[in-house]
Amino acid sequence: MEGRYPPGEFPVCLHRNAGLSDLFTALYEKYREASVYILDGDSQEYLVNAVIINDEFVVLSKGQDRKLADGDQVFFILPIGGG
Amino acid sequence: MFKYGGYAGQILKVDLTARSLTPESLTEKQVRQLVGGNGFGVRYLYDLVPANTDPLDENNALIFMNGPVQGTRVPAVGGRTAVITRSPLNGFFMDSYYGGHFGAELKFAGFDGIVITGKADKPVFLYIEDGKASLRDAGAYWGMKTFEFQDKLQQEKEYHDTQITCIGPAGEKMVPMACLISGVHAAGRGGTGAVMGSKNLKAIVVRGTGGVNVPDIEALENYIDKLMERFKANPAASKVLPDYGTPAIVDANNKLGLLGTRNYQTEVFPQANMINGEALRSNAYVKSTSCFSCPIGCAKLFRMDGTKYEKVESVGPEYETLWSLGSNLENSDLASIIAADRLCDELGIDTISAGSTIGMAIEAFEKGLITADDTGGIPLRFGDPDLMLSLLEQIGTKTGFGEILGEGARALGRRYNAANLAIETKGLEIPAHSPRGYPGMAIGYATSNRGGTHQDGRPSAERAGAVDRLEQKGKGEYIVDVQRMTTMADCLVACRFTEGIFGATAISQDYADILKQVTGMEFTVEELVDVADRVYALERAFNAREGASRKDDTLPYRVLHEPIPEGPSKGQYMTPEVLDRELDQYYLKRGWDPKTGLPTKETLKRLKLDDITGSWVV
Repeated sequence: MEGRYPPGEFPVCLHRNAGLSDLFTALYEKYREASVYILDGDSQEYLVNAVIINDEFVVLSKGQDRKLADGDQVFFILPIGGG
Repeated sequence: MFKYGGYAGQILKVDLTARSLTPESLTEKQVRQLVGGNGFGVRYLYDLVPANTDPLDENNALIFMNGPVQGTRVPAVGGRTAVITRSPLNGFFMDSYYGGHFGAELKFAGFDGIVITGKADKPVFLYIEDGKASLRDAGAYWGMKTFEFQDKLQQEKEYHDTQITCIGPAGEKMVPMACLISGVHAAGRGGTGAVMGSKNLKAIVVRGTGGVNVPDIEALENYIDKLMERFKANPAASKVLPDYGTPAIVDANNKLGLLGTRNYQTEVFPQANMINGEALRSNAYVKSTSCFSCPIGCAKLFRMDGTKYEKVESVGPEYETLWSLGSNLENSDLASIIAADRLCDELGIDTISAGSTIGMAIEAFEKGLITADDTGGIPLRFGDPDLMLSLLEQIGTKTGFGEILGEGARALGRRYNAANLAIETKGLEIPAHSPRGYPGMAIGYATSNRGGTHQDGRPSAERAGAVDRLEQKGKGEYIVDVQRMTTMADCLVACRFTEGIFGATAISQDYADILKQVTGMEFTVEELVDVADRVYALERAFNAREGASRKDDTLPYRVLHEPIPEGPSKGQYMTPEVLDRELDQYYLKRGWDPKTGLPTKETLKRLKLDDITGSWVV
């Protein structure tokens, strides 16, 4: 399992009126190793294009400033196809 | 030595009836117009196989092809192999692909491909070593499962370091959904294993000690180093696939409400967390393995001990199998899916077609269209892993109800008046990427020359959010560009996991750069688009000769008439009107006749395919 970072739930506390970009920052700061799937540590570029907020599909290019509410669950869609 | 780098410069032509083995030189025209892989294969198939040939007749051809890149260190391309034939599952053009090391070994043995026709009078295997080939007696191996056969053969000193592509019992018995196995890799789709079995050919065994000539090895190495940096920077290639492999997709599709469940009756599987990437990684992961020259290592050896099933150890299941034998059958027993994946590989059957057809049969049973009288007294039900394993065994050994299931979903629908339950296009079962939720992929399924495959068109950009998944308008034109990319990748025999690096929605400059570095040939992207269009038009011409037309470019009844009933994607589907509209745009962009869905005479001429004739050419 060396070098591998398990998925799962990664709770974070965000300030009121925080948005998706704040979530990326918070995840990077709190879960730096696990955040390698979603954020380039050097350039801070996002490595995913879309997330699901609760049941809603949100494309980051359109919803980067989307505000988050207390209790929202955000699922990051990893950019891979089927083999 | 061949004029261009990368190529061995010759194809081995094998006539099993005459027991003749003849090398044939590649031509400059061949490589400039078709590049390699599927491009070479479809041209041989079109030229060699007469119209209306029974796919299991000795006149069908079974074609194995490399591109110019196999045997080099170009990442994720070096070891793969293309197989081309007329499919016994659906009667259309079929190409299927497998990873591993076989393609590279064949190149090292001095061949770009093998074209096999005829039928041996007794079981044989084809042995190739450094430019020489022979047919050898396979009588002692006939009947063996794939892993047992490979192990036995490689225990013999003469064959211990060979690369093998073989069939199992399903191929020998000509089950229409039989596949090929090479090591632990499968050329799964369309019944290529049955064609090999029909020729009394158990295996192709290759050893090569040669190399690959390239114009400037230093320049190529520098180029590969830069490519490797891009692979490292890509999260899918450097993190997700190495850690989890394709099972990582289970969660994404289920979260989107697009994980086919109960034969796509719904697309939400509440137990997805029991069969997802994390479940596999936590409970069954042993190690990762890689194909030749691949830095990704997406294949995983999984094993579970102390379960009720035998041999719960397999390289796989991939995402497709976690769907086909998992959610699609409402089966959340992970150990049973690993055991089933192993069983399918050993028997040599396609997990996608098998799982889809079993799921359809269960639904038909629930609806009273199939009864216990039909199944040999077996009640069919979802959520029964023991039943699944039993039916897979029956399919692979062509026994009991499995003999009927092995003919696939379309045949099942015809036999039991259940066509509306079949999730297939052109007779090839649709895999695990929802045609109701990914409209671009849906047009890809509808227009693919081989039928329901996620390899002619891709779901990746729509799922990842790079392309608007919820917009149906324009997806006809969109998918033409995606198919051009997949066709070019198949000419190079490149892994689809290059799409995150080389581009997922169109042919990129990377393909031209790779060809220049490996072969010395200069292509513009526009010229490569022409190559891809030429190859796809040839595939379509092969199908047209067998009677295919626009009527075959359609989608399953469920996709066109039954919206997703629940979950985050509730209500999504594609109406027949939308499909028709997008097909019109698709044909226009391709230069095909919207009335027939076939290339026009003018387009064939533009693509230098003037020799393609027939009553359909107008």
